[in-house]
Amino acid sequence: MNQKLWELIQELADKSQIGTAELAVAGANLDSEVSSVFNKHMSKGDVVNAPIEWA
Amino acid sequence: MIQREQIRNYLKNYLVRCQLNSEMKSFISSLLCLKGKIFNDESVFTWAEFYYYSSLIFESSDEQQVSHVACSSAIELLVLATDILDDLTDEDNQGEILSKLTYPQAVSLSSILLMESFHIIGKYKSPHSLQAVVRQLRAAAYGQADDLSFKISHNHIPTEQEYFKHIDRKSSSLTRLVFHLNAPVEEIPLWNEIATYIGYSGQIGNDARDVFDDTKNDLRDKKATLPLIKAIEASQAKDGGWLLNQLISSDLGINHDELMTIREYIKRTGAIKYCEILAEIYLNKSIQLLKRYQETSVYKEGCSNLIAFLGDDDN
Repeated sequence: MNQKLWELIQELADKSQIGTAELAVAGANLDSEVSSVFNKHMSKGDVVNAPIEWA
Repeated sequence: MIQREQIRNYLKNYLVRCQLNSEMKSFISSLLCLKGKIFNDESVFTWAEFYYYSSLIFESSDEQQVSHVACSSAIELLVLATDILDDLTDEDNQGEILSKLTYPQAVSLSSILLMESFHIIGKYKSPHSLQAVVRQLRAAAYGQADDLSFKISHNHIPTEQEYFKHIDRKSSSLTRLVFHLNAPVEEIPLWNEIATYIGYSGQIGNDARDVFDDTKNDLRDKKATLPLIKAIEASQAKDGGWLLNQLISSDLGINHDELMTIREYIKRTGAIKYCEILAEIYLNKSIQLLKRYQETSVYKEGCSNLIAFLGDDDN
């Protein structure tokens, strides 16, 4: 349960902007108990305010 | 909030009656006014009320009310004792507790609070219940001892799985203790599961918040909290381990700019968001189990009150 969520957050953390459709598709791959909380949190804003520019 | 006033009155009367010296009484009153404690009007979650609502799931008659209020007060004192021990262990000298007390006062006070809580519980509960309290406190004490070495180092970075095993002993033992005081023996496995989820939720939420709290030493001490474990994991995968190198090579106790940089970095890995979401998922899991229990429970209102207290949006 946790690993899928973490991988998804990692994927989204690298993006400066995330569209609603992209979020919906991403959340659909999670278990229902996880996706409802994930969607609620993501509707409040992006994963991070500004992604890290990884070296 | 009638129960909050009843618990406050019980504690105030108890402090007047008990044989402690006035300085210690004054310390206890003052500490019970801190954030999250029962004398503080701003507190949302208090351990006393958590116990109170939990007890109403099993027995809500008027005859039991005195026992519920007394044991709620005992749990408040007991958790305050563990908070003091926690801050002593972590050397949180800038924190709310140790900024009010000297080390000898803190040690003495935590011992007094533990004994007072045992005394009250022993007065209202069976020896079997008291034994259950000791069993869970023993686990918490072992967890606290493990906490001293549960740290990030070049040689070992604890995994998420190890983190959960660690907080199960250190934190969930206290939530289990609350249910064990009233739950029938045959229901203990269910209440253990519910308590474990509540404990996970609380500890993960605290660990995420404490990253940004200047009075907490988690980052300085390189404690293996979930946000740090996950941020290091992200950093190892994407950034050649920048975060671990910074943590190991910096003294965050004196280098505040470095501390701010590391905090911001952790946030930007997504580790804080991950913890916030997980904390809510585990709370929801406990609430789902409570709702299922409520379906066949005689004390439906008691179940609803506990669910609302824990913060169910749909209740």
